Amino acid sequence: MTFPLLKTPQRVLYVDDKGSFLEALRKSLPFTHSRYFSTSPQSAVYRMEAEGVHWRKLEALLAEPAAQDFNERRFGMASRVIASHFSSWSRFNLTSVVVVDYSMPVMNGLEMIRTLGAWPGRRILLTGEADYNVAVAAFNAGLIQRFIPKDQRDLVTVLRKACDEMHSTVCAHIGQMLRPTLSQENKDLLDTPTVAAALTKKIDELMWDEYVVIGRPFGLLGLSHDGPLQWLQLETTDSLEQLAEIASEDGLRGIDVDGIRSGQFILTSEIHRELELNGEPPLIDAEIIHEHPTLYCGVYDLPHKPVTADVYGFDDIIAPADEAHSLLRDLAASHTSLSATNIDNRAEPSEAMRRYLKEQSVGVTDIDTVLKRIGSFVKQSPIHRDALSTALLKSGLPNDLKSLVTRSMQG
Amino acid sequence: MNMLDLSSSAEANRGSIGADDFEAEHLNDLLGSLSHIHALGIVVLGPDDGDREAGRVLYASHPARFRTVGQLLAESDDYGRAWRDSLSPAAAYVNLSNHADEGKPWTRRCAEAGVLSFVRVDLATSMDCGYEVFVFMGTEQSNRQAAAEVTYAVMGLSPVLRMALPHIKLEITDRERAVLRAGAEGLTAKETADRLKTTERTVIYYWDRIQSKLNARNKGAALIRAATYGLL
Repeated sequence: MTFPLLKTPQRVLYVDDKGSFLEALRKSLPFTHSRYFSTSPQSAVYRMEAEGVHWRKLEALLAEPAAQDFNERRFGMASRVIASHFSSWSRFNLTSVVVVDYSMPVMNGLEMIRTLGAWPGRRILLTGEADYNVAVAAFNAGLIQRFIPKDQRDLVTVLRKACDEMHSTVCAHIGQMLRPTLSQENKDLLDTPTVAAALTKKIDELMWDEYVVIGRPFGLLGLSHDGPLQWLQLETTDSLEQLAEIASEDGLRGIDVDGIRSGQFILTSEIHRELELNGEPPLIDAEIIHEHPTLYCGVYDLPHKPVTADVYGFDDIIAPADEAHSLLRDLAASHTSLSATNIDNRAEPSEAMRRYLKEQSVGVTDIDTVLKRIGSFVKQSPIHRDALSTALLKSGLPNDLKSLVTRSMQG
Repeated sequence: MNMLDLSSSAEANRGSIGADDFEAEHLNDLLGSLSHIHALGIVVLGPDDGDREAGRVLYASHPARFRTVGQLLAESDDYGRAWRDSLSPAAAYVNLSNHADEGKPWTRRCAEAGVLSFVRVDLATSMDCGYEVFVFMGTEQSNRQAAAEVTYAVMGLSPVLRMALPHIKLEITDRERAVLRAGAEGLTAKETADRLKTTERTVIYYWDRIQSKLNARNKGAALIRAATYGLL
């Protein structure tokens, strides 16, 4: 298995017309990621359409031509990934797997899957005994990647495992977009199965739920459910030699330069400068995580304040009331991200960085975009409208935001 | 016009630390060589931020009492960009008594210091920026004689001035300067690394450092800013 260059927070959509079945799934599946259960394929399709903007945002970030980094922009991938990915709640809204029951009235599972179009995730079809031939045909046509009989023994375990695997596959697939940002040496390194395994182990040890591989400087940005945002710098024996050169150029003491060359320390000056952090870049302890070739890594806690899973909260949506709550939470999140800067330990961000952050903060996590989502949510049915009104009454939103919501509900 | 905010005066103060040596070494000699035409003081102005919109600041002055003249002159709109934009002469002499500048803060200060005339020599770089050398004199001028003497002396020293002046405001190392030159020639990071006998990674790090020192958003802007400081 190659090492996925990216891992996003997991989010799964389950669709079945039988509410009791979904309720049973909800109770038995481990609640370690965001989940959306829907008895209405039509509502599920709306939800997936609303998510499209978040996928497009991620794609735009990853597609910024890597080759032009050096010539065209002061800020490389690390700054951009922090500004537009880790500082945004957008990334918690990327459903990577849908699990759909085949047999539903009005719209069957395959009909629903067909409407998903260019959505880059994986599709699992739940089938009854009579649907076997349909499922095989759909699989062969590439419409679905897996079908699981509903009467399967250990259905929950099988489903959970399938969702996890497929999430990894989707991440690996999207992560391919980052390959042009890596040097050939680093691609070769990550393509080595034992290196991939060692890195995966290190990531588990750090308890990261998500990460992005950065090509220059080479390393990973990632975080656990409650942060902090961390930089995992990767070095080989050859690259440590280069890093030692940078260290002596930066005026470090000979003993420290030797420490870098011999694999005791890692100097963080490249990421430090890229992210315009204050103070002196620290020397961090190096750890060998792989032999032949020798791979060193060092962990550096960054001062940024990312939107963590704990801060954002996992969605667990089964009723319109849950979704109404989730929508208002997004609205509040948009409001805070516009009024607060996401970085401390930085007395004064440079003008260029400020402009860049501003550029990145508008868009899909904009208040207006969330208000539009609220507008179409309440149009779905009187139940949805009531759910939102109730949630709005109970919410602690400031009054100006509340009146914006009321206006969108009328418009 | 926009130079009297706190940050730029802090810049000017920090710059003056390096300016001390420069003043002692070069301006003192220059002034000495012009004593026969009653030269009293010298002021050198230069680009504030490598950006033509950012205006100019005081780089060096000699002797100490001309520091305020230099600061006030830098803050004024006189000469500098407007002068260059109007294609006015790069060397000029002015008698203060019959001049339109009379009564401005910097000319009042000049009068207090006993200045009756001055010569301005422009060491333009690019993007309508550059360094301006003002030599102040205690006598009135009736012909170009003194202007010719000052211009001759300043131009004679200009290779040294151009080499030293950017470093008053910027801490650009010789290696970084070599990287900038290579970039201006269109060399890639790899080619630059080969020329400087270093690695691509170090060259990229140099560029990153250069861009933050020059406050530039990208490599192209860094090169242009380097050119306005006269670094290329």
